[in-house]
Amino acid sequence: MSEKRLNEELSAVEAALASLKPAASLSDRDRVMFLAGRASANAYLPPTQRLKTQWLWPCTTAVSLLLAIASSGILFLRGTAKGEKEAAYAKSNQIQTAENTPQPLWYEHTRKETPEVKRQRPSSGRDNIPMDLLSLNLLIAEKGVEALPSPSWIPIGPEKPPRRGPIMQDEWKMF
Amino acid sequence: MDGNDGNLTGPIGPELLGRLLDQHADRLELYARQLCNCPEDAVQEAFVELARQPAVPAEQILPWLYRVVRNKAISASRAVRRHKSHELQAAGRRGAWFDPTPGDAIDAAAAVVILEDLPQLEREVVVARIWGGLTFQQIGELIGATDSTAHRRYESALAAIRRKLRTSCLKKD
Repeated sequence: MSEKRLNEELSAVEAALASLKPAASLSDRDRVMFLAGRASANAYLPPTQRLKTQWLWPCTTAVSLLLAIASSGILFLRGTAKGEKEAAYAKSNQIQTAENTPQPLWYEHTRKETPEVKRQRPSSGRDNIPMDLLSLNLLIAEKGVEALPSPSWIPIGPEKPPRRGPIMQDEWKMF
Repeated sequence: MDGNDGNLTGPIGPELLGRLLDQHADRLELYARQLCNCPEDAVQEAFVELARQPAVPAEQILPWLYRVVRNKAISASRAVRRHKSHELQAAGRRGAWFDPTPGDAIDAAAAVVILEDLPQLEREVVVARIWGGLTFQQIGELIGATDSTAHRRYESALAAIRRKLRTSCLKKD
């Protein structure tokens, strides 16, 4: 208090006030010491290590988050592109299959069904039976030979001439 | 010990921290009480903050503590004003400023009444000077003024206290 002098009256007031003792602290000393000790743990580390301990986990978390977002974005974009590509591929493949794949013989026959063949074909609900070899095998294995479609509708070549009746005696005579 | 234990090169140790707590916690709380209703919290946070510092020059510890306590007390006071909580308002009224002793040259309760009547900045200057033991330069830095301004405010506050003390004595007579 030697910086600037006060007059006597003010010095007396100052001394009177200084005689008062501040009330005891309400702070919990042990708690303050504990908190201070915990807080000071970082202060004792060298600066580089302090930076590491302070920023290691936040940085790791931030990097992981960014990677996760980037990966999700890439997967999403790739998924969309792949979907479009697959759809286009499937479409082109379908067309190609329909045009270029050699069909079994019966398929050609069925496609070339004449009205006559169609008429001969039994309408017993067998229209939808797949007629490739594997399907036929499965059908036989499941339902037996009886389940096979009637061969009557399968064209077997040019129509035979109508059968004549029994040989007449006149004809025998000719021989 | 006034925080002048030589130059500190590293973080503050537990022994010094304990000594600072024992010697200055009550004075710091009295100072914080001029600014907020929860002085012990401001002081506690200031000491924890001090322990976190990698290095504080020894002669700067006490002014540093007063500055941090002031900042924290002002922040707490603003928070209380924002929330306007009745509990916090009530909490602010608890705790006495001084412990009355037989050797007191002035009645503690009367001193509190008189100090409470002073403008806040003058109260701060008086408490920081008389019980904190800070220099006028340090007080000036604390309140953001020059040391002359701090001294002027101190003188004016003491004069006001003297007038009020005389008035109260005359009333008693």
